[in-house]
Amino acid sequence: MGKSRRKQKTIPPPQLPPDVPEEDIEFSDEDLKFVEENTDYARFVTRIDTGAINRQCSLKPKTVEDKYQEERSKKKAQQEGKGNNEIQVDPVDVLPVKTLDGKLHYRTVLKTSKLADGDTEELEKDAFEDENTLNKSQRRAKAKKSKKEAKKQEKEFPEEIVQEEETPQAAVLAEVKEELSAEETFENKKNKLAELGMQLLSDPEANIKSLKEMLEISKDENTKIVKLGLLSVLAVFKDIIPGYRIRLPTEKELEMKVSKEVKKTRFYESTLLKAYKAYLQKLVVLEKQSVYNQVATRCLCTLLDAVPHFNYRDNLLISVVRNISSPDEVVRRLCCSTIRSLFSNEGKHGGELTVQAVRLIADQVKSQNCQLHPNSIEVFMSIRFDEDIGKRDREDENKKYRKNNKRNKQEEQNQVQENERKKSKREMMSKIRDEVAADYKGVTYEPDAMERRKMQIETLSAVFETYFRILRNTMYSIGESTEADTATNPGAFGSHPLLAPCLDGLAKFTQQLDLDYIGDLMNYLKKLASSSSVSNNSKQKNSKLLTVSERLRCCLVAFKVMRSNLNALNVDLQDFFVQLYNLLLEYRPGRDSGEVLAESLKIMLCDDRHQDMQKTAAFVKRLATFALCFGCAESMSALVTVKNLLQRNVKCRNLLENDAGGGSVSGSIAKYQPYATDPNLSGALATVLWELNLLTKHYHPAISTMASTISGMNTSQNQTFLSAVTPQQAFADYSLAKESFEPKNESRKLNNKLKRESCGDETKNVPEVDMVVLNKKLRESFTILRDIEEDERVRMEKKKLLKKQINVVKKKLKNPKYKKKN
Amino acid sequence: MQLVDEAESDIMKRKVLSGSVLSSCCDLVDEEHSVQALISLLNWYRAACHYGQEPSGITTPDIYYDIEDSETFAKVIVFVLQKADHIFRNILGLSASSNKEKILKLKNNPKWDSLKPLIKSFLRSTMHLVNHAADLEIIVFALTQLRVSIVFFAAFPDSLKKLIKLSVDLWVTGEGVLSQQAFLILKDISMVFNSECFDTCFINMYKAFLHDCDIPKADSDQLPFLRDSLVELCSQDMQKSYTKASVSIAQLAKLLKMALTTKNKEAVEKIQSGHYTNCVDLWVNFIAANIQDCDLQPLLYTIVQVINGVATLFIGPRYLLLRVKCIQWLNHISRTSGIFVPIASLVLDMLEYKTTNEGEKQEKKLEAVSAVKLPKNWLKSQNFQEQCIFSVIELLAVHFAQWSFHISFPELATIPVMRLKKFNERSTMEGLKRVVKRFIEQVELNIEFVQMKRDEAAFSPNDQQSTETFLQLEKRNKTAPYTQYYQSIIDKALGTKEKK
Repeated sequence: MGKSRRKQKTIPPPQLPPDVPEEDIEFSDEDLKFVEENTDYARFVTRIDTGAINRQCSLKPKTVEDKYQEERSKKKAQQEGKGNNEIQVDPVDVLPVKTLDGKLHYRTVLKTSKLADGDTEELEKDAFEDENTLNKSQRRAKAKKSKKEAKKQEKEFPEEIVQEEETPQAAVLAEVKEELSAEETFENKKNKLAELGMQLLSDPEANIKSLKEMLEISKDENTKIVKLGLLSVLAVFKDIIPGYRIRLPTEKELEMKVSKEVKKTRFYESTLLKAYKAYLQKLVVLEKQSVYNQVATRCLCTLLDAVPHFNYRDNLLISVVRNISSPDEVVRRLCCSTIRSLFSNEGKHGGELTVQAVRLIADQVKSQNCQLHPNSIEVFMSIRFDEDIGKRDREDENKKYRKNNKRNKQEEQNQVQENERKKSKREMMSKIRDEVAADYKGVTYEPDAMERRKMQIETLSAVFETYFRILRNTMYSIGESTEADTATNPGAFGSHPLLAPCLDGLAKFTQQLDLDYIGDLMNYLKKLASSSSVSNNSKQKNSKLLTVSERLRCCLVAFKVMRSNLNALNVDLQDFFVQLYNLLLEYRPGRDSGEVLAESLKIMLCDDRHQDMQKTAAFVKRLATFALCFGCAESMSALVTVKNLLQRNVKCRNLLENDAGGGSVSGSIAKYQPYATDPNLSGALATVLWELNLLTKHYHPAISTMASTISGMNTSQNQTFLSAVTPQQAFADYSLAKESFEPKNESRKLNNKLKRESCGDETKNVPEVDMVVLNKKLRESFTILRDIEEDERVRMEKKKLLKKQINVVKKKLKNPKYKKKN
Repeated sequence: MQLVDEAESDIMKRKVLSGSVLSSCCDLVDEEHSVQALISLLNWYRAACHYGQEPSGITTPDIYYDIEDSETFAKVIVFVLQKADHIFRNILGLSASSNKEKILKLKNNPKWDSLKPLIKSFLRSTMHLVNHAADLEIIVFALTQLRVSIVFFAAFPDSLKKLIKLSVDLWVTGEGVLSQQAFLILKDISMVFNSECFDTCFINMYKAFLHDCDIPKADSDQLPFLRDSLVELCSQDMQKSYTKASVSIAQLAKLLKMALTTKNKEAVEKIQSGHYTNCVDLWVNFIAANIQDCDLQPLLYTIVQVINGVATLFIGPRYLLLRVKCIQWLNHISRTSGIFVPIASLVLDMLEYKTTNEGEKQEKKLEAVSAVKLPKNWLKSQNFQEQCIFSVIELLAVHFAQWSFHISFPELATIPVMRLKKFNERSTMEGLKRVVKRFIEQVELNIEFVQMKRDEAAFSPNDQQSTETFLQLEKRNKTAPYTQYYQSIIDKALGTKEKK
């Protein structure tokens, strides 16, 4: 700023900006201060040719617009006259710039000047107004602004002069201009979007047409603009879309004569709907382009979440479900959360979308052959199945009916006294009421209980269809792999991506499962659980095989299914016990989920009601052995289970005592077989739980105490209380992730005696020093040092000598006369 | 100018020490404890120690000490270093085992005033010699002699600080004897000046120990030596080192917890740094050294949890060495404390490190790697797989050797044996199979033996006393074949390490 002012000295007085009466100009304190501080810069003021200025200012334009007009025409004339060799200095509109869309911009320099005075918005709005047709409100606003503007002119013109000075470097200037204009258009468009959006939000009915304009802007080539455009239109739609579905008037209705209000509303609605449609089409197109994928998906998801009742929701849903298994993490998460919220907020759309979404997902699972991201199935967990949808409504209806009856009776009594006219009026009223009710129902799409029930059944069947499809697919893929495992390679999401969420879902929705299917389900689970990698004994690593966690989950689901159906079915769960017995050995802490293991211990062992003694003993023994080899979390959950089992099985407590006589209860197998695969054949009753002895020496105090409590359990006494801790709880509490790493028992007693006064071995530590060698070394080092010193001394002396000589020479040189005199 | 120069050098008395002067001086000091002779002797000593560094003798500008020949030079240094302490004590009337309180009381002694500057001069000159001498043996000799007079530093706290710094430097950078002597000095300091200097010594040494442990050292014995000496120092004052250890271990645990919960790269990298592992190593050794005498149970618990956490944080074949290290620590702690630390699952994981059997043979020494993480291409080599299996067997052998006569041994070995058998079924490498098979055979022998003895026992698991005494006799005579087998494996493992 200061620099530019100094330059003014050499420049003839420029044309003045549109005149403003002196009294209107207000100087801010800052301005005054600036001038005071920089009096040097302001010196030019004294030299201003007031006469020339007055001459120029004598013409008083009516409005600022007129002034602009005048200026522009003047300049045109001048440019025509003089050609291009000199750009006329114009303080108001410097250097018109042609933008990409062919519009002329004036006052582009404001961009730089506004940095100086910091009043950005107003100026930019002016820029818009110059190129756009002004509407009323804007014009009003503009009139206000003109005053402020005038004030700014003063500050602006130095900048403009700089521009003028730069004319020699035309090429550079052009470049700068281009850049400026690109930036400018970007800014302009951004601001326009904001403005239009604000208008729409403040008064949607009046400004509904600007929607089109906004959509136009979002067709820009600049990706940033497009994204901004999409998002701003989204914000607008989210706000202005009404809470009902728009039904466009039929032709018949259009022919009918309607009031102005209705016409206006119709126009509004149809415009809105058209714009919405266009917007959605655009989104669907853009969603397929990688650049816009995220933005478009975000828009789609937000719309589906916010206005699931509105028109075109089916299309929205389709495109959202299509992206549910997208490889893009962000997109996938967006879609999944949207679908989840659809499921959990059924009130917004009456449940219809739930059915559709589940159907669509089921179709996708089918078409992709179960190779989807697990998230896409996990969303099912958010569906809520209401058992007594019909019931409550029916009860309500009954109540109402009873009430109505009463009322009717009363009314009937009253009716007698009423006259005919009133009666007819009443009839008409009720007729109208019915009509209104019917209309309302038609509009609100609130389904009644029957419909909701139907939809729920449909949803359920789609969900279970998906689950069964996944189970069957997994089974076949395992079956295939034993024959030819190289044929198919696992997809991008792992070998059985959907199995885990599918099993989770089955466990959750077992209540809803039809009894007829349970038999099939159990068979599937049995096969899956027993698909061990060991039995195959294949040398190649088979990626298609199920992991331990997955197999444990299968067992778990089977138990949950049985339990939730109150063991109504007589299915033999023995196989699952065998599986668990063996899976305990295949468990690997890092690879497999310990939580699942703990849960299966809880569900399958702790909660099992009628236990076979032989089997229980086998599990007790194996779990105790298991506890010897694994980390504290696993050990603890195993020990908790052991304790639980022993508490409930008095006879199994024989394992705690070394019966000298040998197995009085040991049953058919006299000797314990630690490597047996079937718990019933292990003969565990013949053994003793010696593990507890080692476990009492465990470094973890909790495990150590647990082991001693177990070993202290009494055979004769029947302890009825059960420990409240579940294996899961134990696992979670003692896992390293939760570990606080603080010492468990703070009671420490350090015997603070100084350890071994090491006087005894001190002599040992003194190394043998050979005095002869030492003497020799010392002598050597002395000679070396002396040599160095001698060397140094000689050098120093030489230097001194040299210095002396130099000094002598210098003296001679300095005092030749003195010497001569001497 | 010229004149002034010459005048100055004339003023400076040039005292040249000759052999005869020295020997008479020595006699005077030695026999009559003449303070006067001692003063001049120490002046000569000072000059000798500074010889070559201060040609003009700044401290005493009017006298310039010079030494005639190398013989006298050697003699004055050796004589003073050997006798000075004795003479000081004699003059002051101190016994050889006087502690620092006595030294501090000397202020009342009239002789102290005259001797104090002499002692200070001796100590400082010797420190200078240690600091500047070029030859290892001279330094070692000076250090050992200085150690005798450490008590005198009580009167000169500033010099003491310098000495600690000097010794720590020598301890870290020196080799063999020198490092050891420097450590002995530090140890004596922390013993003599227990309350004040233990902290300073410990902190300086600790910092120096951890300072450049990420840089692989040429001398691989250096780090264990430093660690051991630090442990020895810590063992001197259990009360103080206990708090230090618990703070440090808590810090380690905090870092680990952060890495476990956030899994962010920076935190995880901190765990695998040499800094972290060396620190764990230090405290493991500290606990192992002292667990028998003191109750370090809380520390032991935390460090075991930390090690378990480290082992589970880094899964996969590339972290083989770290995993092996962790299990070795656990075994070490378990062996010294007699506390049961389960390692089987950690060890057996290594059996399943996926390796391609037909990978090209790369004959590289795995032990030579300093980094915690192994380069990827190594994982394919057959050598790597062998290394895995050998480590498994070695670690299990240590574990089993500890509990081989425990009454629960058969159960302890059940799962590992099953897993090893399974490995043998799957593996295609005959050489490895044979090794594993032999191991299984020995362990099964052991199981059988314990089981047999157990069947004869008449007590129940809750009878702690009887189980403690079970098979203790057999444990003592180490003739059982499996005991010898375990020992041979352990020895072999140690042997390979030493060879390297």
